[in-house]
Amino acid sequence: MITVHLPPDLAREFGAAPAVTLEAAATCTDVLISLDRRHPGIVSWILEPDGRFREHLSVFVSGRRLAPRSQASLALARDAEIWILRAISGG
Amino acid sequence: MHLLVGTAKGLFRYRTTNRKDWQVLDPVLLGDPVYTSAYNPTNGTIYAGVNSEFYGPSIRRSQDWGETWDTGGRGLEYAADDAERVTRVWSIRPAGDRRLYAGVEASGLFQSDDGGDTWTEIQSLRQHPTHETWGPGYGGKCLHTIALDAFNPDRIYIACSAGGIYRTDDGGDSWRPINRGIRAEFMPDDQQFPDSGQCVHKFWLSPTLEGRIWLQNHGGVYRSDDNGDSWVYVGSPLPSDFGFSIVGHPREPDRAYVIPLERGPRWAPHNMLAAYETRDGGAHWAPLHEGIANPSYSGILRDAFTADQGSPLGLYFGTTSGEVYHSADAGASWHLVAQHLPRIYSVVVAE
Repeated sequence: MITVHLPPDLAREFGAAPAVTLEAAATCTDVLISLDRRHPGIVSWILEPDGRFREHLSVFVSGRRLAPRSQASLALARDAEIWILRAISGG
Repeated sequence: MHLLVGTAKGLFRYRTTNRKDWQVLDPVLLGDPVYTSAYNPTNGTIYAGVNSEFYGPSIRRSQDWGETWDTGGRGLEYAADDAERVTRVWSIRPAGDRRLYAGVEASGLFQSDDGGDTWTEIQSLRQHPTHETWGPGYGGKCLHTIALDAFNPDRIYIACSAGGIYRTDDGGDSWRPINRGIRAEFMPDDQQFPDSGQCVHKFWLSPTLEGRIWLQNHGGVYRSDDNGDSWVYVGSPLPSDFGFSIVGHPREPDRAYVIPLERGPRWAPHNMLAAYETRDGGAHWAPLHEGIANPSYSGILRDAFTADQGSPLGLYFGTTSGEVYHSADAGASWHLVAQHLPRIYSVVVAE
């Protein structure tokens, strides 16, 4: 299973739990698509149309921080933990 | 009547039944820049253009005067391989019960036919051959004004900074720049009247006189009597012909209002903040500042000045210093509705 930790304000907007557990998937994009099925519309608040994370989100996957605007299509471990945080660059 | 004030840190709301006493409602959409809002009287919906630094732009909807909001619809974005990205919402224009138009940054126009559930770009606009002449002003490369012609349902006007004012006469299938005679003062001397690329700050389309448009340019106040095919410069009597906002009188097409600012710094000439009114199509302008606290070091942004439908006319503006002024007598006297708000981007009357 994959755990996605959401920023509290984003979770609140979509009525999501702060930490959402989802079926294991091959890539981070796949996990976010399944998150979007549960909370329709949420993926466009996280990813841009080009599949990259929005500029002022700080994302950690299995403990490793991704570079800003990284592609979300990276491969995931079966028990990966994803943290999506508001980056301090955003205010 | 509600007054919706979009600021750098949320939407502030005020309610009145007599345009004199104002009830302060709690601010909402806290923390996010609200560049614009709109009200659709046919179905009671309020829309807000929320431009989150973290989560991007969205057009949120409320059915209870802003107490609660949805998360917005889908599709307010350009394709993945587009050279431009949708970064902000600048303008929302309801057109009947279900249709909406939205202007975004980077300058583009979207349409929704389901009340804002789904959005589709009107691609013909960005496909216009003059698109390459568009660039950003200091505020961004924004499509900030959308107006629907009261006399021709297929005629729509938009303006973007910089880019200029454009018109469609076929419901959006094709567009033409209508900037002839509008000066682009930031260009070399021999190139100041191009077909497009002007930094139009705001225009106002008359609902009562066909063809009448008032326009505040990045330098220059103009009037058109022929749907923008030609323009008359009417700014010379003003203490400055620079400004961001312009408002026409909804019933008397020869009356209009501007708030002049200096080219730099962008505050009122001699720090005497005032609206100026013309009653004769722009030949003469008179200052209206009774009740405005001066000297002032504030600016008024392009969407922060508006009017209601009342008689006498009600006028409203918000400043970059967070003051909201209103006048219930067509500008003869001004009164504070609020102060100490964040920087004000937009003031909208919902009635």
